[in-house]
Formats: sequence, C-alpha cells, structure tokens
Amino acid sequence: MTGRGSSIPARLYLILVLLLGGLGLAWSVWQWRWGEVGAWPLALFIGLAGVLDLMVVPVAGGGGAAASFGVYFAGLLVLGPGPTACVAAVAGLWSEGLVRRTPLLRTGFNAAHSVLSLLAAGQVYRLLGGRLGQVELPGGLPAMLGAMLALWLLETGWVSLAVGLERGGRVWRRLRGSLGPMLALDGALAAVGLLLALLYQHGWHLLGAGEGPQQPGLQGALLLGAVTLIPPGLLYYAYRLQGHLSQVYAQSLRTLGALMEAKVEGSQPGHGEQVAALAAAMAQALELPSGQVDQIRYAGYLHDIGKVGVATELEAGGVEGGERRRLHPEIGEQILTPVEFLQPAAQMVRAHHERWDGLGYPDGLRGEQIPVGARLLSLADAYLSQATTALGPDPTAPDHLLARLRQAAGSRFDPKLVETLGRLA
Amino acid sequence: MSGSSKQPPIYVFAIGALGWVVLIWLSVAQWREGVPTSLAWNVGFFLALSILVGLQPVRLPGGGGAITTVGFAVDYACLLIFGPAAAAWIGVISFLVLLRRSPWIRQFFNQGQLALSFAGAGVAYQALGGQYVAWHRPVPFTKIGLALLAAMAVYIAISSLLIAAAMALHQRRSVLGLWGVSFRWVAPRSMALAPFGLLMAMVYQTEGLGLLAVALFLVPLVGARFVFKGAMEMLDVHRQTVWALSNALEAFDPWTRNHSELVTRYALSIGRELGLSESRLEALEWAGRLHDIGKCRQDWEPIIRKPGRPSDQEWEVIRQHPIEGSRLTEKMEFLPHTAGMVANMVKSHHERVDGSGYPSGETGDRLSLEVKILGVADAFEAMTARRAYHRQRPPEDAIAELRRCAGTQFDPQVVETLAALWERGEIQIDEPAGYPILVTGARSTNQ
Repeated sequence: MTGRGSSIPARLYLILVLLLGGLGLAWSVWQWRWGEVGAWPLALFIGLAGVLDLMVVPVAGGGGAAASFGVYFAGLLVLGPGPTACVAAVAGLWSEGLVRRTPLLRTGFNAAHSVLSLLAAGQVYRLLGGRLGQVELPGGLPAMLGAMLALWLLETGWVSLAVGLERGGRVWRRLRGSLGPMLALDGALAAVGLLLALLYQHGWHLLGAGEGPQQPGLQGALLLGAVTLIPPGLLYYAYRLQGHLSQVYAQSLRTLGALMEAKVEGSQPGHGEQVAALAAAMAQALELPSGQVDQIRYAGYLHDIGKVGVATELEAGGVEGGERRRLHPEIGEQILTPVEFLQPAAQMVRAHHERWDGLGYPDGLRGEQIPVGARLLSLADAYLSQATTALGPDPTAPDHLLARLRQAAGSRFDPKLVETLGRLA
Repeated sequence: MSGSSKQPPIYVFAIGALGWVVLIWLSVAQWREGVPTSLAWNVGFFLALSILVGLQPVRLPGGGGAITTVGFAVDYACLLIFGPAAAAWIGVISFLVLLRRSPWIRQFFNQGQLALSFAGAGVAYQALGGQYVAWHRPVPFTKIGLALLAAMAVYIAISSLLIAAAMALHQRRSVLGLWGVSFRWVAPRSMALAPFGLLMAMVYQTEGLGLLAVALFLVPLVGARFVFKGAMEMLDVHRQTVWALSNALEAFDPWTRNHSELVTRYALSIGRELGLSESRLEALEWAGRLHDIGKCRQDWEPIIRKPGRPSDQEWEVIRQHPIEGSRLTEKMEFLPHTAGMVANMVKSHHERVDGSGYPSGETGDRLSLEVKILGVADAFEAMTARRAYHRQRPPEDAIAELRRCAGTQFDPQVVETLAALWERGEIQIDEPAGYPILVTGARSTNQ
C-alpha cells in the first residue's frame, strides 16, 4: 500500500479524503472551547494513542488495524469528537510520519480518515442521546454501541475503499471480507476503551490525588496506563505471533516442496513455487475465501511431491513403466495424511491430474466433482509447463499458450477457469 | 501422583488434612470478624471466573506438553480482594469442578495444598502491611509493593514445595532437587501473571466500577488468549507438517530410510538421561529430524547415493551438507526459546571433540552438549544400520568402536551414557514400521 505506482482514482481518493480531513480538523480546532479539556487528559490520550498506534495488526482483505481503537472510542465518550480528532491527528502524524516513516500521502490519509470517522461517530453518539463526559451503564449503552459501530464501519470502510481502488477487485466484497475480523478486534479494543472512559470518570482522582479532579495520583496514572496498554499490547502480540507463524509455515512448505523437487530427476527448479503463485492469484481473482486460497497455495508447493516415491515404487516392483507417473498424485496425498490441517490441500494434490471431461486420474472425477483448487492447479501446472518448455522469452508467448489452453477448455480444463487465467495472464 | 502402591501415601493425606484444618480455622476467624453479605455476588463472580480460566488450558510448546493456565492471575486477585480464607474457598470449589475426574486422594491433596499456600501468602502479606480490598477499601497498592511481592513469593514457594515433595516421595528422588525444577518452571510464569491479578484488584476497588470494570478488563485478554491458542495450534501443525515431509524425503531413499527417525530416538534417550531441559530436548528433536536435510540437493544426489567410498572431490561436497542444512533449517524454526539452536546443531553435527571434524573444525569445549549427543547418535545409527558403504554391525561392536574414539571423535560422557542405556535395554535399534505409502500406492494400481 505505498503511494507510488497506485492508480489515478486511488490517488484522487486519497487526496480527497486528505482535504476533507483537513477541513474537519480545522473545524474541530475552531469549535474548541478552551479550558473544557485540560492539558493533563489531552497529554494522556495523545500518549496512549501514540503508543497503541504503533501496534498495527494486519487484517484479512488488506490494510491493517491499529490497537488504538479503544483509546479513540474512550476519547469520543469523555473528551468529545473535536478534541479526540485532534488527538488522532497528532498521534497519527507522530506514529506513522515520524516513527514508521510511511509515505507522506499515506500518513496524511490515515490521519484524515480517523478525523472524519471520529467526527461522524461523535454525531451518531449525540443523536442517540449520549451525553459527553457522562458514561453511564446500562442507560448509555445504546448510544455507546451506536458510536462504536459507526467508528468501526467508517474506519474499515475508508481503508477497504483505498485498498480496493489500489489493487482492483470489487470494493464491496473486500469490505465484507474485512468487516468480520475487524469487528472482533475492534470490539475487544472497545471494551478497553469503555474501561478507560469509566476509570477516567471515576478513578482519575483515585488515591493520593487530593489536589483536584484533573490531577492523577501515581496509582491512578499507573492503573490507567496499565489497563489501557497491557491488554491491547497482549492482543497485538498474539496477532503478530499468529501472522508470523503462518508466514513461517508457508516458508517451510516452500522449502520442503523445493527439496522434494530436487530429488526428482528432470523436474524444473522452482516449478512448485510458480504453480502455487499462479493458482493462488487465480483463486484470489475468483474471490475464494482466504483460508481456501492458502490451502491452494500450499497444495501448489507440494503438488508433485508424490513423484519422489515413483522411482522407489518401480524398484519395489510390479508397476509398469507407463503407469508409474500416474501414481504420484496418490502418493502425494498419502505423504500428507498425517497432517490434519493440510487435508484440503491433500485432496487437491490427489485430484490435480483429473480432467474436466472425467478422463483424468486417479479417480476419473468430472466437472464440479473435482475440487476447485485441483482444477486451478492443473490449469496453472499446464500453463507453466508449456511456458517453460517454450523456446526463449517470446513476448507473444502468453497469447499463444492461452490459445492452446482454450482449445482444451471443456475437455481437459474448466472453461470458466481458463477465462480467469486469460484475464490474469 | 497416582501411587504405584495401593494405599494413599501418608504425606499426601497429611497435607490434605492439614490444609483443611487451616482452611476451617481461617474461615472461623474470618466469620467472627464479620463478613459483609454484599460480598456473595462478588465471590460468585470470581468463582465463575476461576472455573472459566481453568477449563481451557493452553498447551505451551517446549514445556514437554506442559499446560499453562492463567489461573494464578485470578488466585492472586482473589487473595488481594477477599483475603486467604475466601480465596482458598474459591480455589477449592473450582478444583471440585475442574478435577472432578481425578482420584479423590489427588483432589484432597490439591485442596490442602491450595489452602496452605493461600494461608502462608496471607500471613506474609499482612505482616508487611498488606490489606484486603473487601475489608479495607480502598487499598493504596503503590505503598505496599513489598507486601505484594512477598505474598506472591510465599504462595509460589509453598505451592511448588508441597507438589515437589509429593512427586519426590512418589518417584524416590530428592525433594530439594525437584523443588528447584518445579520452582524454576512455575516462578517466571506466575510472576508474569501476577500483574494481571493486581490490575484486576485495582480495577475492582475503583469507586463506582467494581465487577463490570473487571469484566471489561478481561475481554481483550480473553481475545488475546483465543488468538494465542490458535497460534499454538499452528505450531503443532507446523511440526507435524515438517516431520511428515522430511520423513517422506527419506522414506523413498533406500539408503537413508528411517535414519533420522532412529537418530532422533537415540539422541532423545541420551539427552533425557543427561537431564536436558524440555526446551533443549525439543530443539534436539528438531535437529535430529532435520540434521541431514542439507543432503537433499539435486546435484549432490548421485554423490551421496553412490556405493563405495567417496573420492576426495566427493568428500568436499559431502562436507558442505551441514552448512546447507543449517541454511535450510534456519528458515523453518521460529520458537523463541529454540531460536538458532536447531540450525547451530545441524551445522556442527559432524564436528569432533578433538577439532578434526567438519565444516569448521571446532573443538569439544566450544561444542554444545546437544551437538555431542547428536554426533554420537548419528554415528551409532550409521554403524548399526544398513548403509551404502558399511555393513550392519552388532550394537556391541558399535559401542566398542564409539568407546575407542571417545575423547578424539566423541564426547566420553555421552558415549558412556549411550552404553549404559544400551546395557539397561533402553535403546531399541529395530526400525520403525515402514512407510505405508509403498504398499497402498501399489495396491491401488492393481484395481
């Protein structure tokens, strides 16, 4: 998601949001009634938001979500939309512009969409009867819930639209894909925000702070800091760990798939990796669920691992030479049997030599009986094998290759998928 | 603690009984002081919480299947809020639910152990000026840091001592030794959890908040736990996958079939006998499974498979395989506590104690114990199995050969450990069952 190389509509959109956000910020400062929000609370919220803004969790469907959602939600309830928008602008510019060195346009866009979302969610809170600085349960719950949902919907929407415009594809689908995961994350963070708001209201002058309601005691400050930083921090750590693990997992599969390839005579180095990339790209273009895309990618790395057993199979005796290649999908599936998690991929490995017309092997499945992942693998496999055996890099090659695949559409391949490949290649 | 002897051990029974006496005595004393009835709801809330967090433990890797619960955070919060008597009751009742399938003597012991730990922690806490939220609201926690620390330390010390003693009596091992082991395991985890308990108590005592605020505080933590559990499952999946694939890589090569499987088996036996910690054993297991993965290169295949002694040129290639292997394994490991360990072991598994090994010729004092274990296990397997340029030898001959080379090629202590294990019959050299694929694959073509 860099500013460079993005399409013109995407850039226009970013600039538009930036301008609107700037206007919103100016309006907030204009409306600011000085003295209403003290320096201490402002510093506290900027500090908390600044730290949590650095913890960005990647979200399915592109983009990321910062762990600061709860702090902004709390700000909306106790400071009001204007001051919170200013907090968001300052914290956002600091964390993205100064610490993470995001490109200027992106930094501005991210700060601007937060300002706009906060101002709008503040209106929702007011319209639903929420009163500023008076967080009461359970009476205030509907207004708070409304504000939280508005904030979640808007924040997810701005980013999904940006990602959609940059990477293409239907924005609505992308938005729908990321709304669920975002709600889980933002909901948990909103709980922290509500706690922060409650503590701010009731506990700000906790113990040892006899000097007035705006002055935090040591215990109050420690408590506020710990309660608002530790749980989101832990949540962030868990998400990061999970993301890291799935990356390492894919990496391990790629490495082991390549090692298997190396053991097979006459195999193309890197073939599995290329098949995985192309099949996954097609699956993404078809907008399959992300879990399925992952399994297709894994199956791509491993689709030919069964070939490692073919030579031994011959030595073990009894199998005719012509038959030997036909064993590798089954052997590949069985190598993966011990891994419960990989069973969808194992089925794709088994079926990647099936044909649309039912003349393939090992099971003679036809049409939609063949898992869609296996159909994608067989197409990607055929396309890439032809591409690498063609003589030299020929700019017209893709068209030529595609034409040949189109001839086999309906017999060897799923015609719809051939068209998908045509759009991608 | 399920005893091999039929009757319950006296010690285990005595701890249970003593704990119950102390618990009843504490409760009566508390009752005389007076208990506000409004506390019932709050105790109920924490009881539900205590059962809830105990229900779904997260399995940590590296702990040898050890289970961690966030139970300590709740225990600690209960102590700070309600005092030892009510906290112990909460713990005892949640044990009744969580351990309902265990033998009664085990439940009885755990109840007593819990009551004694809480009682001791309460004494230490109050002696250093600590107060309980339910009776002395609000408690200035920032001013009683020492009491907070002492309560935590005493709780952990008593609890781990009582459990270690029960295990030591059962296994006929030294109490102090086992206490050290269990304390080292429990203490860091509890110290990481204690701040959450303290925070819960602080949130609870904030005026106008109470239970609702505690519940809000727990929401993201429960979320984090959920995600974390998913990540831990991913670790398991990763391990299964790497082992299934690396097994398959070897299984179809008649020269290497089962080699890594057996090396891993021997190495783990030796490592356990030498008292390696669970996380080091886990790294050793990964290294054993993957130590020869560097040999899987297409251009090296003909050399490595060739029967007979390799030529000098071919040796040069073979000597590269540990480096290639460590390059590959480096990308596959990601556990914080084994980071780099596996790759290092793979890299030096052909080093020798006297420095004549390859690839870098390090001497014994610079080699880790795990590497020495791996070297001995590798050599033992190579001698006792069928291999391209060696015939199978009887294990006694192999051990004699290892002893002959102890001090030059191998570490003497490791060799003697292996020899002792062999004499006790704890090393099995028979091969694991063959790979099922060969059979099934052939059969399906006959249909």
